[in-house]
Amino acid sequence: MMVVIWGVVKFIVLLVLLSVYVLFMTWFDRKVIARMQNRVGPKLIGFHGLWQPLADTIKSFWKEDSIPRGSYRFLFWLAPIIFTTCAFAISFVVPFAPPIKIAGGVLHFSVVNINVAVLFVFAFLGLASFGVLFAGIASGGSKYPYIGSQREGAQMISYEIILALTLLNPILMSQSLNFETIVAAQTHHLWYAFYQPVAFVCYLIAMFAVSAKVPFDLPEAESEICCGYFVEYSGMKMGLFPFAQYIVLLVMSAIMVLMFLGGWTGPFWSGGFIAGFIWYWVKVAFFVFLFTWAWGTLPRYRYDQLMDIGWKILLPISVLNIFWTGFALSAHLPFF
Amino acid sequence: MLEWLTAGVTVFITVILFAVILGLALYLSPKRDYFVKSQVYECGIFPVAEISNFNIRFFIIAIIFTLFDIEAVFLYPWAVDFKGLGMLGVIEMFLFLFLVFVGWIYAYKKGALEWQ
Repeated sequence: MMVVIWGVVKFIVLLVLLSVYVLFMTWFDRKVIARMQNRVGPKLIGFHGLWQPLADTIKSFWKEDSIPRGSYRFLFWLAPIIFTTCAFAISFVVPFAPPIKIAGGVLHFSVVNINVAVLFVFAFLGLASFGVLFAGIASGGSKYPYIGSQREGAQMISYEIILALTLLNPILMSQSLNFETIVAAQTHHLWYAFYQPVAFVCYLIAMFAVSAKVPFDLPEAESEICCGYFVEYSGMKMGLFPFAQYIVLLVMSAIMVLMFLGGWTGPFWSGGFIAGFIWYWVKVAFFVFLFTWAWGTLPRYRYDQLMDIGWKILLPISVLNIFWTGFALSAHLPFF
Repeated sequence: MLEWLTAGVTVFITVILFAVILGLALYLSPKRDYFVKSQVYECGIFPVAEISNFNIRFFIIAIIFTLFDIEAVFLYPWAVDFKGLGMLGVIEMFLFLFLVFVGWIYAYKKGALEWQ
Protein backbone atom coordinates (compact mmCIF):
# COMPACT_ATOMS: atom_id res chain seq x y z
CA MET A 1 0.00 0.00 0.00
CA MET A 2 2.98 2.30 0.63
CA VAL A 3 3.79 2.12 -3.09
CA VAL A 4 0.39 3.53 -4.01
CA ILE A 5 0.59 6.34 -1.45
CA TRP A 6 4.09 7.25 -2.62
CA GLY A 7 2.84 7.15 -6.20
CA VAL A 8 0.03 9.59 -5.42
CA VAL A 9 2.46 11.91 -3.58
CA LYS A 10 4.82 11.87 -6.57
CA PHE A 11 1.82 12.45 -8.85
CA ILE A 12 0.88 15.63 -7.00
CA VAL A 13 4.46 16.92 -7.16
CA LEU A 14 4.58 16.09 -10.88
CA LEU A 15 1.26 17.87 -11.46
CA VAL A 16 2.55 21.07 -9.85
CA LEU A 17 5.90 20.92 -11.67
CA LEU A 18 4.33 20.23 -15.08
CA SER A 19 1.83 23.07 -14.64
CA VAL A 20 4.65 25.47 -13.85
CA TYR A 21 6.59 24.09 -16.81
CA VAL A 22 3.68 24.65 -19.21
CA LEU A 23 3.15 28.19 -17.93
CA PHE A 24 6.84 28.91 -18.36
CA MET A 25 6.93 27.36 -21.83
CA THR A 26 4.11 29.53 -23.17
CA TRP A 27 6.09 32.57 -22.06
CA PHE A 28 9.36 31.12 -23.39
CA ASP A 29 7.90 30.31 -26.82
CA ARG A 30 6.45 33.79 -27.24
CA LYS A 31 9.61 35.50 -26.03
CA VAL A 32 12.07 33.46 -28.14
CA ILE A 33 10.00 33.73 -31.33
CA ALA A 34 9.51 37.45 -30.73
CA ARG A 35 13.27 37.88 -30.38
CA MET A 36 13.84 35.86 -33.56
CA GLN A 37 11.51 38.20 -35.42
CA ASN A 38 13.03 41.38 -33.92
CA ARG A 39 10.00 42.03 -31.72
CA VAL A 40 9.92 42.58 -27.96
CA GLY A 41 7.37 39.94 -26.97
CA PRO A 42 5.51 39.91 -23.62
CA LYS A 43 6.94 42.71 -21.54
CA LEU A 44 4.36 44.39 -19.32
CA ILE A 45 3.25 42.01 -16.56
CA GLY A 46 6.09 41.21 -14.19
CA PHE A 47 9.79 40.88 -15.00
CA HIS A 48 9.97 40.72 -18.82
CA GLY A 49 6.36 39.54 -18.89
CA LEU A 50 6.97 36.44 -16.73
CA TRP A 51 3.53 36.67 -15.07
CA GLN A 52 1.77 36.89 -18.45
CA PRO A 53 0.93 33.13 -18.75
CA LEU A 54 -0.42 33.07 -15.19
CA ALA A 55 -2.64 36.03 -15.97
CA ASP A 56 -3.83 34.31 -19.16
CA THR A 57 -4.70 31.13 -17.22
CA ILE A 58 -6.67 32.99 -14.57
CA LYS A 59 -8.45 34.97 -17.27
CA SER A 60 -9.47 31.86 -19.20
CA PHE A 61 -11.51 30.63 -16.19
CA TRP A 62 -13.79 33.65 -16.59
CA LYS A 63 -14.18 33.34 -20.35
CA GLU A 64 -17.57 32.36 -21.72
CA ASP A 65 -17.82 28.69 -22.56
CA SER A 66 -19.52 28.80 -25.94
CA ILE A 67 -20.68 25.49 -27.42
CA PRO A 68 -21.86 25.58 -31.06
CA ARG A 69 -25.41 24.54 -31.93
CA GLY A 70 -25.75 21.00 -33.22
CA SER A 71 -22.62 19.71 -31.48
CA TYR A 72 -22.54 16.42 -29.56
CA ARG A 73 -22.29 17.91 -26.09
CA PHE A 74 -21.01 14.81 -24.29
CA LEU A 75 -18.19 14.19 -26.79
CA PHE A 76 -17.48 17.91 -26.91
CA TRP A 77 -16.85 17.87 -23.16
CA LEU A 78 -15.05 14.54 -23.20
CA ALA A 79 -12.52 15.37 -25.94
CA PRO A 80 -10.25 17.80 -24.00
CA ILE A 81 -10.41 15.57 -20.91
CA ILE A 82 -9.32 12.49 -22.91
CA PHE A 83 -6.55 14.35 -24.70
CA THR A 84 -5.13 15.97 -21.56
CA THR A 85 -5.40 12.83 -19.45
CA CYS A 86 -3.58 10.72 -22.04
CA ALA A 87 -0.82 13.31 -22.46
CA PHE A 88 -0.49 13.47 -18.71
CA ALA A 89 -0.49 9.69 -18.28
CA ILE A 90 2.49 9.39 -20.64
CA SER A 91 4.56 11.45 -18.21
CA PHE A 92 3.83 9.01 -15.34
CA VAL A 93 6.33 6.37 -16.52
CA VAL A 94 9.13 8.76 -17.52
CA PRO A 95 11.79 9.21 -14.82
CA PHE A 96 12.51 12.89 -14.23
CA ALA A 97 15.75 12.39 -12.29
CA PRO A 98 18.23 9.54 -11.70
CA PRO A 99 17.12 7.01 -9.04
CA ILE A 100 18.79 7.33 -5.63
CA LYS A 101 19.39 4.64 -3.01
CA ILE A 102 18.18 5.51 0.47
CA ALA A 103 17.73 3.31 3.54
CA GLY A 104 17.96 -0.01 1.72
CA GLY A 105 15.44 0.94 -0.96
CA VAL A 106 15.60 2.79 -4.27
CA LEU A 107 13.68 6.01 -4.79
CA HIS A 108 12.47 6.29 -8.39
CA PHE A 109 11.56 9.70 -9.74
CA SER A 110 8.69 8.48 -11.89
CA VAL A 111 5.11 8.10 -10.64
CA VAL A 112 4.99 4.44 -11.67
CA ASN A 113 8.10 2.38 -12.30
CA ILE A 114 6.89 -0.51 -14.49
CA ASN A 115 8.78 -2.92 -16.71
CA VAL A 116 6.83 -2.10 -19.87
CA ALA A 117 7.19 1.68 -19.69
CA VAL A 118 7.71 2.09 -23.45
CA LEU A 119 4.52 0.17 -24.23
CA PHE A 120 2.65 2.29 -21.67
CA VAL A 121 3.78 5.40 -23.55
CA PHE A 122 2.59 4.02 -26.89
CA ALA A 123 -0.75 2.92 -25.46
CA PHE A 124 -1.60 6.37 -24.15
CA LEU A 125 -0.20 8.12 -27.20
CA GLY A 126 -2.58 6.02 -29.31
CA LEU A 127 -5.51 6.91 -27.04
CA ALA A 128 -4.65 10.61 -27.23
CA SER A 129 -5.54 10.64 -30.93
CA PHE A 130 -9.11 9.70 -29.93
CA GLY A 131 -9.38 12.97 -28.01
CA VAL A 132 -8.50 14.88 -31.16
CA LEU A 133 -10.86 12.84 -33.36
CA PHE A 134 -13.73 13.37 -30.88
CA ALA A 135 -13.02 17.11 -30.84
CA GLY A 136 -13.38 17.20 -34.61
CA ILE A 137 -16.47 15.03 -34.83
CA ALA A 138 -18.29 16.68 -31.91
CA SER A 139 -17.93 20.23 -33.23
CA GLY A 140 -21.34 20.18 -34.89
CA GLY A 141 -20.39 19.86 -38.55
CA SER A 142 -17.89 22.69 -38.44
CA LYS A 143 -15.48 22.32 -41.31
CA TYR A 144 -12.10 23.32 -39.90
CA PRO A 145 -12.22 21.02 -36.84
CA TYR A 146 -13.39 18.16 -39.06
CA ILE A 147 -10.46 18.55 -41.49
CA GLY A 148 -7.99 19.21 -38.68
CA SER A 149 -8.97 16.16 -36.65
CA GLN A 150 -8.75 13.87 -39.69
CA ARG A 151 -5.30 15.22 -40.44
CA GLU A 152 -4.15 14.87 -36.86
CA GLY A 153 -5.49 11.32 -36.56
CA ALA A 154 -3.79 10.14 -39.75
CA GLN A 155 -0.56 11.95 -38.89
CA MET A 156 -0.43 10.57 -35.34
CA ILE A 157 -0.97 6.94 -36.33
CA SER A 158 1.46 7.18 -39.27
CA TYR A 159 4.29 8.53 -37.17
CA GLU A 160 3.55 6.34 -34.16
CA ILE A 161 4.73 3.42 -36.30
CA ILE A 162 7.99 5.24 -36.99
CA LEU A 163 8.38 5.92 -33.26
CA ALA A 164 7.71 2.27 -32.40
CA LEU A 165 10.13 0.94 -35.02
CA THR A 166 12.95 3.36 -34.18
CA LEU A 167 12.69 2.86 -30.42
CA LEU A 168 12.96 -0.87 -31.10
CA ASN A 169 16.69 -0.50 -31.83
CA PRO A 170 17.75 0.71 -28.34
CA ILE A 171 15.40 -1.91 -26.89
CA LEU A 172 17.09 -4.64 -28.97
CA MET A 173 20.48 -3.50 -27.68
CA SER A 174 19.52 -3.19 -24.01
CA GLN A 175 16.76 -5.88 -23.95
CA SER A 176 14.55 -3.96 -21.61
CA LEU A 177 11.44 -1.81 -21.84
CA ASN A 178 12.21 0.12 -18.64
CA PHE A 179 13.79 3.54 -19.08
CA GLU A 180 16.09 3.26 -16.05
CA THR A 181 17.46 -0.11 -17.22
CA ILE A 182 18.04 1.26 -20.72
CA VAL A 183 20.00 4.20 -19.30
CA ALA A 184 21.99 1.82 -17.09
CA ALA A 185 22.83 -0.27 -20.19
CA GLN A 186 24.22 2.84 -21.87
CA THR A 187 26.76 3.40 -19.10
CA HIS A 188 28.61 0.25 -20.24
CA HIS A 189 28.58 1.28 -23.92
CA LEU A 190 28.63 4.57 -25.71
CA TRP A 191 25.28 6.34 -26.01
CA TYR A 192 22.94 4.55 -28.40
CA ALA A 193 22.85 7.59 -30.72
CA PHE A 194 26.37 6.61 -31.81
CA TYR A 195 25.31 3.02 -32.57
CA GLN A 196 22.01 3.99 -34.13
CA PRO A 197 22.43 7.31 -35.96
CA VAL A 198 19.72 6.39 -38.48
CA ALA A 199 17.18 5.55 -35.79
CA PHE A 200 18.17 8.71 -33.93
CA VAL A 201 17.43 10.95 -36.92
CA CYS A 202 14.21 9.09 -37.78
CA TYR A 203 13.01 9.48 -34.18
CA LEU A 204 13.87 13.18 -34.25
CA ILE A 205 11.68 13.72 -37.34
CA ALA A 206 8.86 11.53 -36.02
CA MET A 207 8.98 13.37 -32.68
CA PHE A 208 8.11 16.64 -34.42
CA ALA A 209 5.30 14.97 -36.37
CA VAL A 210 3.71 13.19 -33.41
CA SER A 211 3.60 16.30 -31.27
CA ALA A 212 2.25 18.24 -34.33
CA LYS A 213 4.79 21.03 -34.19
CA VAL A 214 6.36 23.07 -37.00
CA PRO A 215 7.38 21.95 -39.68
CA PHE A 216 4.66 19.27 -39.33
CA ASP A 217 1.89 21.33 -37.72
CA LEU A 218 -0.63 20.47 -40.46
CA PRO A 219 -3.53 19.64 -38.05
CA GLU A 220 -3.52 23.17 -36.63
CA ALA A 221 -2.08 25.17 -39.50
CA GLU A 222 -3.16 28.67 -38.52
CA SER A 223 -3.02 30.14 -42.00
CA GLU A 224 -5.00 27.31 -43.66
CA ILE A 225 -7.54 25.94 -41.19
CA CYS A 226 -7.27 28.42 -38.29
CA CYS A 227 -6.02 26.14 -35.49
CA GLY A 228 -7.72 22.98 -36.75
CA TYR A 229 -9.51 20.74 -34.30
CA PHE A 230 -10.03 23.25 -31.47
CA VAL A 231 -11.55 26.09 -33.47
CA GLU A 232 -14.93 25.68 -31.76
CA TYR A 233 -13.50 25.45 -28.26
CA SER A 234 -13.32 28.44 -25.96
CA GLY A 235 -12.22 29.32 -22.45
CA MET A 236 -10.62 26.67 -20.26
CA LYS A 237 -11.57 23.82 -22.63
CA MET A 238 -9.48 25.48 -25.31
CA GLY A 239 -6.65 26.02 -22.82
CA LEU A 240 -6.35 22.31 -22.08
CA PHE A 241 -5.28 21.40 -25.65
CA PRO A 242 -2.04 23.45 -25.72
CA PHE A 243 -1.42 22.32 -22.13
CA ALA A 244 -1.45 18.69 -23.28
CA GLN A 245 0.65 19.47 -26.34
CA TYR A 246 3.41 21.04 -24.26
CA ILE A 247 3.47 17.96 -22.01
CA VAL A 248 3.71 15.61 -25.01
CA LEU A 249 6.57 17.76 -26.31
CA LEU A 250 8.45 17.48 -23.00
CA VAL A 251 7.89 13.73 -22.71
CA MET A 252 8.99 13.12 -26.32
CA SER A 253 12.22 15.06 -25.62
CA ALA A 254 12.76 13.14 -22.37
CA ILE A 255 12.28 9.78 -24.14
CA MET A 256 14.72 10.89 -26.84
CA VAL A 257 17.33 11.67 -24.17
CA LEU A 258 16.69 8.47 -22.21
CA MET A 259 16.76 6.12 -25.20
CA PHE A 260 19.45 7.63 -27.40
CA LEU A 261 21.54 10.13 -25.42
CA GLY A 262 22.29 8.24 -22.23
CA GLY A 263 19.79 9.91 -19.89
CA TRP A 264 21.67 11.14 -16.83
CA THR A 265 25.14 9.98 -17.90
CA GLY A 266 27.62 12.48 -19.28
CA PRO A 267 30.93 12.37 -21.12
CA PHE A 268 32.64 13.75 -18.00
CA TRP A 269 31.61 14.56 -14.40
CA SER A 270 29.05 11.77 -14.18
CA GLY A 271 27.94 9.71 -11.22
CA GLY A 272 26.12 11.16 -8.27
CA PHE A 273 22.64 12.58 -8.13
CA ILE A 274 23.39 16.27 -8.72
CA ALA A 275 25.60 15.66 -11.76
CA GLY A 276 23.07 13.24 -13.28
CA PHE A 277 20.21 15.63 -12.66
CA ILE A 278 22.02 18.52 -14.36
CA TRP A 279 23.15 16.43 -17.35
CA TYR A 280 19.66 15.05 -17.87
CA TRP A 281 17.88 18.40 -17.77
CA VAL A 282 20.47 20.16 -19.92
CA LYS A 283 19.85 17.58 -22.66
CA VAL A 284 16.05 17.69 -22.31
CA ALA A 285 16.06 21.49 -22.31
CA PHE A 286 18.05 21.45 -25.54
CA PHE A 287 15.39 19.39 -27.32
CA VAL A 288 12.56 21.47 -25.88
CA PHE A 289 14.37 24.54 -27.18
CA LEU A 290 14.78 22.79 -30.55
CA PHE A 291 10.97 22.75 -30.92
CA THR A 292 10.77 26.50 -30.31
CA TRP A 293 13.71 27.10 -32.62
CA ALA A 294 12.09 25.12 -35.44
CA TRP A 295 8.84 26.99 -34.86
CA GLY A 296 10.56 30.31 -35.34
CA THR A 297 12.60 29.17 -38.34
CA LEU A 298 11.03 26.56 -40.59
CA PRO A 299 8.16 26.73 -43.09
CA ARG A 300 5.36 24.15 -43.13
CA TYR A 301 5.27 20.99 -45.24
CA ARG A 302 2.36 20.08 -47.51
CA TYR A 303 0.17 17.19 -46.38
CA ASP A 304 1.18 14.86 -49.23
CA GLN A 305 4.83 15.63 -48.49
CA LEU A 306 4.28 14.79 -44.83
CA MET A 307 2.70 11.44 -45.70
CA ASP A 308 5.43 10.69 -48.26
CA ILE A 309 8.16 11.36 -45.69
CA GLY A 310 6.43 9.05 -43.22
CA TRP A 311 5.34 6.14 -45.39
CA LYS A 312 7.82 6.14 -48.28
CA ILE A 313 11.09 7.24 -46.66
CA LEU A 314 11.13 6.80 -42.89
CA LEU A 315 9.18 3.53 -42.74
CA PRO A 316 11.42 1.46 -45.10
CA ILE A 317 14.54 3.02 -43.59
CA SER A 318 13.53 2.10 -40.05
CA VAL A 319 12.51 -1.46 -41.06
CA LEU A 320 15.87 -1.96 -42.80
CA ASN A 321 17.57 -0.52 -39.73
CA ILE A 322 15.97 -3.22 -37.59
CA PHE A 323 17.33 -5.83 -40.02
CA TRP A 324 20.78 -4.31 -39.62
CA THR A 325 20.62 -4.13 -35.81
CA GLY A 326 19.36 -7.69 -35.49
CA PHE A 327 22.06 -8.94 -37.83
CA ALA A 328 24.82 -6.96 -36.10
CA LEU A 329 23.78 -8.15 -32.63
CA SER A 330 23.38 -11.82 -33.57
CA ALA A 331 26.65 -11.90 -35.55
CA HIS A 332 28.51 -10.15 -32.68
CA LEU A 333 29.98 -7.52 -34.98
CA PRO A 334 32.68 -5.31 -33.41
CA PHE A 335 31.30 -2.41 -31.30
CA PHE A 336 27.97 -4.24 -30.82
CA MET B 1 0.95 -5.38 -9.31
CA LEU B 2 0.87 -2.42 -6.91
CA GLU B 3 2.58 -0.27 -9.53
CA TRP B 4 -0.31 -0.94 -11.90
CA LEU B 5 -2.77 -0.05 -9.13
CA THR B 6 -0.86 3.23 -8.74
CA ALA B 7 -1.10 3.84 -12.48
CA GLY B 8 -4.85 3.20 -12.40
CA VAL B 9 -5.42 5.42 -9.36
CA THR B 10 -3.37 8.31 -10.74
CA VAL B 11 -4.98 8.17 -14.20
CA PHE B 12 -8.39 8.16 -12.49
CA ILE B 13 -7.40 11.17 -10.35
CA THR B 14 -6.23 12.96 -13.51
CA VAL B 15 -9.59 12.45 -15.24
CA ILE B 16 -11.45 13.73 -12.17
CA LEU B 17 -9.06 16.68 -11.84
CA PHE B 18 -9.52 17.93 -15.40
CA ALA B 19 -13.27 17.39 -15.20
CA VAL B 20 -13.31 19.50 -12.01
CA ILE B 21 -11.24 22.22 -13.71
CA LEU B 22 -13.70 22.35 -16.62
CA GLY B 23 -16.63 22.34 -14.21
CA LEU B 24 -15.11 25.23 -12.26
CA ALA B 25 -14.61 27.19 -15.46
CA LEU B 26 -18.24 26.51 -16.40
CA TYR B 27 -19.38 27.77 -12.97
CA LEU B 28 -17.28 30.95 -13.13
CA SER B 29 -17.92 31.88 -16.75
CA PRO B 30 -20.73 34.17 -17.89
CA LYS B 31 -23.56 32.76 -20.02
CA ARG B 32 -24.81 35.22 -22.59
CA ASP B 33 -25.67 33.09 -25.57
CA TYR B 34 -27.43 34.32 -28.68
CA PHE B 35 -28.13 32.95 -32.12
CA VAL B 36 -25.04 34.14 -33.98
CA LYS B 37 -22.62 33.37 -31.16
CA SER B 38 -23.49 29.69 -31.00
CA GLN B 39 -23.03 29.26 -34.72
CA VAL B 40 -20.12 27.18 -36.04
CA TYR B 41 -17.15 29.21 -37.16
CA GLU B 42 -16.68 29.84 -40.87
CA CYS B 43 -14.69 33.01 -41.63
CA GLY B 44 -17.36 35.19 -40.06
CA ILE B 45 -20.15 34.48 -42.54
CA PHE B 46 -23.13 32.13 -42.20
CA PRO B 47 -22.02 28.52 -42.72
CA VAL B 48 -22.69 27.40 -46.28
CA ALA B 49 -23.27 23.65 -46.21
CA GLU B 50 -22.98 20.64 -43.95
CA ILE B 51 -19.77 18.68 -44.21
CA SER B 52 -20.66 15.19 -45.32
CA ASN B 53 -17.84 13.59 -47.27
CA PHE B 54 -14.69 11.96 -46.03
CA ASN B 55 -11.46 11.43 -47.91
CA ILE B 56 -11.03 7.67 -48.40
CA ARG B 57 -7.22 8.08 -48.18
CA PHE B 58 -7.47 8.45 -44.40
CA PHE B 59 -9.27 5.09 -44.22
CA ILE B 60 -6.57 3.38 -46.31
CA ILE B 61 -3.87 4.89 -44.09
CA ALA B 62 -5.68 3.55 -41.01
CA ILE B 63 -5.80 0.03 -42.50
CA ILE B 64 -2.09 0.04 -43.37
CA PHE B 65 -1.44 1.38 -39.89
CA THR B 66 -3.12 -1.70 -38.40
CA LEU B 67 -0.74 -3.93 -40.37
CA PHE B 68 2.38 -2.17 -39.16
CA ASP B 69 1.14 -1.73 -35.61
CA ILE B 70 0.64 -5.48 -35.34
CA GLU B 71 4.16 -5.87 -36.69
CA ALA B 72 5.47 -3.58 -33.94
CA VAL B 73 3.47 -5.49 -31.31
CA PHE B 74 5.12 -8.75 -32.40
CA LEU B 75 8.56 -7.15 -32.54
CA TYR B 76 8.60 -5.82 -28.97
CA PRO B 77 8.56 -9.17 -27.07
CA TRP B 78 11.13 -10.49 -29.54
CA ALA B 79 13.41 -7.51 -28.84
CA VAL B 80 13.14 -7.95 -25.07
CA ASP B 81 14.05 -11.66 -25.20
CA PHE B 82 16.51 -11.32 -28.07
CA LYS B 83 19.43 -13.25 -26.49
CA GLY B 84 17.16 -15.95 -25.06
CA LEU B 85 15.58 -16.80 -28.44
CA GLY B 86 18.92 -17.07 -30.20
CA MET B 87 19.57 -17.54 -33.89
CA LEU B 88 16.24 -19.29 -34.61
CA GLY B 89 14.31 -16.30 -33.26
CA VAL B 90 16.35 -13.92 -35.40
CA ILE B 91 15.68 -15.90 -38.61
CA GLU B 92 11.97 -16.28 -37.84
CA MET B 93 11.57 -12.60 -37.07
CA PHE B 94 13.46 -11.62 -40.21
CA LEU B 95 11.10 -13.80 -42.27
CA PHE B 96 8.11 -12.10 -40.62
CA LEU B 97 9.57 -8.63 -41.19
CA PHE B 98 10.31 -9.55 -44.80
CA LEU B 99 6.71 -10.68 -45.40
CA VAL B 100 5.30 -7.45 -43.96
CA PHE B 101 7.80 -5.50 -46.03
CA VAL B 102 6.54 -7.27 -49.17
CA GLY B 103 3.05 -6.14 -48.12
CA TRP B 104 4.34 -2.57 -47.94
CA ILE B 105 5.86 -2.86 -51.44
CA TYR B 106 2.50 -4.17 -52.73
CA ALA B 107 0.64 -1.25 -51.15
CA TYR B 108 3.18 1.16 -52.64
CA LYS B 109 2.87 -0.35 -56.14
CA LYS B 110 -0.95 -0.31 -55.94
CA GLY B 111 -0.80 3.41 -55.18
CA ALA B 112 -2.27 3.18 -51.68
CA LEU B 113 0.33 5.64 -50.38
CA GLU B 114 -0.20 8.28 -53.06
CA TRP B 115 -1.87 11.62 -52.25
CA GLN B 116 -3.15 13.94 -54.90
